[in-house]
Amino acid sequence: MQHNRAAGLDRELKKGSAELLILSLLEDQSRHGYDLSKLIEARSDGVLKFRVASLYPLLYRLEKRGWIQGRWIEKAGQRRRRYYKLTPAGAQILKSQRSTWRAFADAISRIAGIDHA
Amino acid sequence: MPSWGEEIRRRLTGLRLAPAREAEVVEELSQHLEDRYRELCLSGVDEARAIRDSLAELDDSDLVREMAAVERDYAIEPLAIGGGAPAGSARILAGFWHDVRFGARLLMKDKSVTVVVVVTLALAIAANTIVFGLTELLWLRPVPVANAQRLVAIFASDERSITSRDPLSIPQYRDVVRQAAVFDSVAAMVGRQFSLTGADEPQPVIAVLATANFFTTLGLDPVLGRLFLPGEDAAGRSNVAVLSHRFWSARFHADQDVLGRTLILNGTPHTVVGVLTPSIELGSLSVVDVWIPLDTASSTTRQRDRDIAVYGLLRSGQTVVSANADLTAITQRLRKDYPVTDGHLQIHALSMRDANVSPDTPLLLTMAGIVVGLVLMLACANVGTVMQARASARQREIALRLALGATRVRLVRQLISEGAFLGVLAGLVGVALAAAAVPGLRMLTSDPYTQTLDINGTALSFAAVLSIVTPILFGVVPALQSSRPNLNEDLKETARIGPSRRLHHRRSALVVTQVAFALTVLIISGLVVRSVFARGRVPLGIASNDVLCVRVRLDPPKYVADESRVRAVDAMLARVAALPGVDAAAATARVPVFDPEPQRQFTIVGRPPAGDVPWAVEATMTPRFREAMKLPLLDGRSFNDDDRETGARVALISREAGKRYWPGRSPIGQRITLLNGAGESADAPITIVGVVDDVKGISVTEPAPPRVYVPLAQRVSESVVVVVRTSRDTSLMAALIRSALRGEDADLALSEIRPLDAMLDTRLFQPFHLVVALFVGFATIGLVLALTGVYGVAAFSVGQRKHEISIRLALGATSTEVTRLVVARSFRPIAIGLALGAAGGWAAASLMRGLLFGTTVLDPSIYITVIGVLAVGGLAASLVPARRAAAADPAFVLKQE
Repeated sequence: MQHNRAAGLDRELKKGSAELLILSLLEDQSRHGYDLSKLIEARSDGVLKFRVASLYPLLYRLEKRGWIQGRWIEKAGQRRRRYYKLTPAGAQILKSQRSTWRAFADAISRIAGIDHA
Repeated sequence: MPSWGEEIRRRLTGLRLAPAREAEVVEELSQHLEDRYRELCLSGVDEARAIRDSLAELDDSDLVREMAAVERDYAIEPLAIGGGAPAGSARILAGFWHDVRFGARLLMKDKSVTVVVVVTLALAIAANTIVFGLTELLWLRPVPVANAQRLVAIFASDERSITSRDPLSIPQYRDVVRQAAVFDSVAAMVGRQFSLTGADEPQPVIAVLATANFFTTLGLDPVLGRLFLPGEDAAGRSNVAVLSHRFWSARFHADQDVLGRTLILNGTPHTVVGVLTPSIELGSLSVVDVWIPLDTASSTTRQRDRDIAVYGLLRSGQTVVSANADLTAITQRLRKDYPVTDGHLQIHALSMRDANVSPDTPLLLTMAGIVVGLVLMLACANVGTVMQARASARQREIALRLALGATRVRLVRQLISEGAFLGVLAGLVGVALAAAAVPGLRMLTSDPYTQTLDINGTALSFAAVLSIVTPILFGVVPALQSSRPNLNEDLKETARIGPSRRLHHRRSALVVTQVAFALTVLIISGLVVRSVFARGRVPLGIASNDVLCVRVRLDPPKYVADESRVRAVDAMLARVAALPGVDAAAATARVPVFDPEPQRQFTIVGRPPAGDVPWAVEATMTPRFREAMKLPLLDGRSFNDDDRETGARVALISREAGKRYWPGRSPIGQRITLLNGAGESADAPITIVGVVDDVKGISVTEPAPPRVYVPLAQRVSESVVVVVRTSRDTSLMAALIRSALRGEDADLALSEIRPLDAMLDTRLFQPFHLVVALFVGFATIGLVLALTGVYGVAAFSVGQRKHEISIRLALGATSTEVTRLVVARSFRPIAIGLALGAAGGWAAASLMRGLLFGTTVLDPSIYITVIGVLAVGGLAASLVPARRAAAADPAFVLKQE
């Protein structure tokens, strides 16, 4: 049951709401692509998984829209990595998407009686 | 562990990403797979599975599609550090565009630098394009006739003559036709003013009389009807006329039915048989109205009527050199056969290209070419300074990139692309500037041919070549230098207190070059401009202000006998003299200085012939001519109303004639006999009654020729110029004079009534307005470029040494000491540049010795002036940044460091 629910939610997320996830995760700090994929997987207890083939095109699209910005950053003793951070435009979008998503989630729980706490 | 990069690159192949972008994507995705693989391995998964799972991350049918959608128009992050040029032509091209775009973006960011560079180069390109356009138009472009390549112009010269391109006489032409073996045909022509009567008011027309073979010799075609037939120039058959295209269009409205119409020229009817192609309407031929046949069979005067222009069509295989050998042999025979008239003759040929320009023009164009070439080098040196300043500012960046593995080729290519971008931009602006200047330059010249100056395809190609070459001149050298830096030194640059000795020398060399080139430009321009102005200050011997001239033709059938012409002139002068405001009215056959005048040989009665036969310019005048022209009488008496056709034959001579032929004694009362064209004394002896001051001949740069004046009444001609001195407004007087002349004879053919001032200006100075404008323009550009260049170098060098200067100030140096230090450093290269420039100026001036007039190759006033201007300007230009440096707060500067 949980698996079915997760699969459904996964599809839903990937269809229209993946962007919200990425933007939320970049709200507090810059992160690189692998970090993002791990966080999504960890915070959803392994329910949500982003593969390279879907994650990076999404990142590049968001970057192209000017919502996030990627920069190569070198840290001591490490290879350089490309870190993404939220741009002011991205922050604005996150804010509006968040409220939309809340309304959507509320509507679903009212109709289906799902307790999504 | 597999090579993740290769796997990813394989999957992205179809996307055709830009190389830099692809490298970036591959790097990022590889890292992700690498991390995933390591994590799987650490969690105990066996290696094969870990690899499989990692690669599965790429398995998504949407990858390429998604990436393609996103990557379209993806803005590439500028210049990935390190790495060589990617292989493959497409990638090289992509790299090139990348470089150009990157360069453009960089230059747009540095807008003020870009504007300075583009304007500097554009000015130089514009100046070069204009000079090239003039050279192409005046010297390189072939004359627009079919036989241009085989055509030569044939001239006579005489060692006593003031020009070396005299026309021939008809008998001399006949000798060339008979004796020359190198020509397929030899043609002749001469321009004359005719009066066209029959229709409305009589109209003066310019006719060219040409031999029947003239058009076939040049290779000209009619646009309507036919041209002359063989034999049509024989006496009795010559009553045909060919119209110029311009005259046909203006007077006959290009009417096709003009053929067969009759034109009455000087009372003789001519039947129109054709209309000539307009392609020949260039230069002096653009004013021709009608062409009629020239009868060369009857004239016998060898010297007096030397006025025909002769053209030869070389046989195939013959050259100008072989033609001249042939003509020299003919000349030798003529000298022997006609020692009196042709004793000093030399007939010679010039290619049409050389014949079509004045002898000075090629030299003048060469000097203009040298000047604009130097201006271009100056501009390049200037831009080089700016580019080097930028390159130095980027020295650390470049050193870093090299240290990280970027190849030299890659860096040089980047710097050259920036140069190419600037060059193309400057080329476009330069062509626009040149095109904008052309209408102004056209207005400065009265020469109809020069007025066709245009920035045509050839000039555009030239400008395009310059735009490509200049970036190489200023871009490649700094590029090569900055790409071979001393990494250690450059990375440590900030640790040192001043720029390297190498940089210092390079900058000094730039200042030396700029000052030297600018000084050479200023010296050449100064000498040329001074020569032109010196022409303007030459005393002509006549006062041309407040004088009006009008040419009157006294042609048959109304005026046949000399008596009728003399009577008409007397009557006209009486009417004009009676007008209010007329101070003096006179007549002459030709206006001195303005018109070419004939030379006559003469013998002195009582003196046995010895050596060269005396000669003088023969002029005619009525009694009040001296008064009208303000020509002073130095000795004896002037002409009076008793000096008529029936009176005793008298003459005035010029001071030069007296000095030359009666040295140390008075010529008054001496008698001379003028010789005719065949060298025989046909006329009665003439008594010299007075001496007048010298008057220049047609070339004001030559000494005044000896002159003999005879009364107009004793030698009247068909064409007379009425000369009127007036104290009233000349335009009002012109109308009054015209109606007075018409009152005497309503059918008189009159030319336009013009002030003598304006006529002389057109002939003597207007041809040089363009020259002055060009050289003054070039000198100004040269000076401004040199001073901004010196300023630029000084400012840059002060900027580089601000650390050192601050330390000096902090240690107690006064600002005056610092200023002196900085200026002193600029002084040495400026002084060396001035010395080299003076030498360059002297060398260039020696080349143009033939152009100089009223000045010398080493004219001290020019050298002192321009050296002074450049020295003061140069030091002032280095003083500005020096004072700024001295005024800086050392604590602030040192803290910044």
